[in-house]
Amino acid sequence: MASSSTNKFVLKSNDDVSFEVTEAVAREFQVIAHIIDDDCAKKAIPLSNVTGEILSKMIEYGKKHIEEAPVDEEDEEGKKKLQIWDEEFMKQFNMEIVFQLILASNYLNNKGLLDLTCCTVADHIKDMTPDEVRTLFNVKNDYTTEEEEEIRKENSWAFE
Amino acid sequence: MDKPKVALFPDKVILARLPVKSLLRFKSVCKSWYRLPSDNYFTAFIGSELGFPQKGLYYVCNPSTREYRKLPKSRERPVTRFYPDGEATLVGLACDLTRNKFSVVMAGYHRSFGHRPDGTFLCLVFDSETNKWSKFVSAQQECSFTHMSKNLVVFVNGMLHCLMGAFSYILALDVEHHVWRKIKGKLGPILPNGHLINHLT
Repeated sequence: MASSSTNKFVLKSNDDVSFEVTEAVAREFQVIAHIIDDDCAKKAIPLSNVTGEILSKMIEYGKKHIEEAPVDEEDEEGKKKLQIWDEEFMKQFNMEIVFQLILASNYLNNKGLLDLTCCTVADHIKDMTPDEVRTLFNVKNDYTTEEEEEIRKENSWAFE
Repeated sequence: MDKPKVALFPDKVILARLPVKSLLRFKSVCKSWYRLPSDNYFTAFIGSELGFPQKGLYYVCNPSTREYRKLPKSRERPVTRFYPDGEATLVGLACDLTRNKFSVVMAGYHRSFGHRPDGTFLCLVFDSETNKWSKFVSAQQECSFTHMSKNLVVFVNGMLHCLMGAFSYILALDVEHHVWRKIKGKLGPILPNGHLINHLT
């Protein structure tokens, strides 16, 4: 097998945008790594659940994490630098895009990006009221008024 | 948001990253969210605690849900001799999240009332699946317990690890098979804060 820095693969989004990436970047996504290992990656790899807009951002994240990967477990400075980059990276997105990134990183199985995007949402909603959360996640309130009151009482300290 | 993708959405994955307080507040969002804090996935993030209100009677509490479980009494007879649950030298909680069960371990040297320890190392293990305590005895010579030992217990890879006197070695219990072993070697400069296990592998 050729070295992973010279080997190239083409990832194709569901709206027909193609991206050429090195094998190392492609392998940042577990699902794609499996496709490569199974030797099914001769032509472009179609990703039916990801748009070009989202895929380009995921590749940007993958590249950065390959290029700037901390040297080892002890490399606190390297970790810190990457963490700062991660925070800046997330600032450019609205919640809709963040949700799409979560779905895509869940689908392509990139643990780091899934964790980062989920933490971004958790941070965004942590001080919200249940009503605001229902709107954001489009969740239907299936409690009766009495039931809801009861649960709020049980957990009253969480509303302080 | 115009097109929320609720059916597909991995909300568990997001909600598990919330502080406990937010998580409890969001129990009132809808019925399926009500159960989330008790979900396996969440306990993996949040962990559990152990409390000791009186001899022979124990509670295990999950601080995220404030749920607790009263364990059956570890003994029926009155206190006439030392037993690990009376003044246990080692106390530990082992959570096996893959099987959704936990064990409580108490261990110490056996001694008759008013006598010195006789060298028999006694161990009580509670199993949350069978809801029973079991007891086993083994010979553990020269264990130098200190008051600190109680607080330096960590559960990793099916073994409960206890840092022993003067940080000289680790006493480990295979919780499943009830076997003790000593792990010797250079432990290096360790702080008594649970970071020691990282240095072992």
